[in-house]
Amino acid sequence: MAKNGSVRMGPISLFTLIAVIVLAVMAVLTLVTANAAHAVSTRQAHAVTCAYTAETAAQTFVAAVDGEFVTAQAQSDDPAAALQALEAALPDLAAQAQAIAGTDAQVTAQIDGTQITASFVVLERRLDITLEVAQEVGVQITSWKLTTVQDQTTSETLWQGAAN
Amino acid sequence: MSAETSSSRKPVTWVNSAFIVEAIILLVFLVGSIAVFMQVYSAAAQSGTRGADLAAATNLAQSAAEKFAADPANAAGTVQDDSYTVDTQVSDEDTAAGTLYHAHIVVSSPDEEVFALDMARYVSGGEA
Repeated sequence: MAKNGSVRMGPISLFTLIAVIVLAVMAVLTLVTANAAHAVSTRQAHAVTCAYTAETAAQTFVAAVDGEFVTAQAQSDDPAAALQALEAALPDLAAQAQAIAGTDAQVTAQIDGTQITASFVVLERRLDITLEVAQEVGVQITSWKLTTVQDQTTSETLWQGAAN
Repeated sequence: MSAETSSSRKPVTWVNSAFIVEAIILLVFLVGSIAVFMQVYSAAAQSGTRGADLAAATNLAQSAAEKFAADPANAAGTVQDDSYTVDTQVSDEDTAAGTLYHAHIVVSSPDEEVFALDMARYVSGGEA
């Protein structure tokens, strides 16, 4: 009677338990995979938004530089005076581009002779452009390079060399 | 004889009852587990669909933005691509030496707006 009355796990219980465990593992894996795919899509969308924000600021900057140079040329026939006027106005033009790019962005511009270099950093995207200012042809784009900003602040030591 | 039959049937009845109770408990446990798993699978499916929608919409918006960059004056319009609608609104602004075009690109699924992108393109007077 004692032997017959003992409770043991039968094959049906065992099969059900295994099925439930397998289903649970598969459900968790499915959810993790779906969330990872969604996170990748979100990062991709964010990167595209940053890139085109930098692009918009740069296009606006080029328009402002071109307009400033044409205006300076109309006021003076001296090419050096036009370049000086452009150099004086460059910080304001960069500030306008900064306002368009937003507070997360960082816009810098400098002029060296007839060459203007500017960089537009919007979070993880960086757009570097170079403009050539010439008397005859006005402002020309000579370089337009979009790169990804690498985070160098966090470093991890992988190997410290041999002990001896 | 009758007492012997009664004593031999008693354990069988007990085992049958135990089996039925076990089966009921297993059934309840299985149904409850499946209900929980269905919710998890449903959440995973929704998350996956949202991610796929966003990825597709981002690619479509990027294509529309490059089309706008190539020809800003003629990029405005609405394009239907599979189940997505790509709407490009273009406005222009005269500057001192050319025209600055602004584009607002919206990619929508039949249910909602999925992704939006703003872009600008400058065309100097010499290029036009």
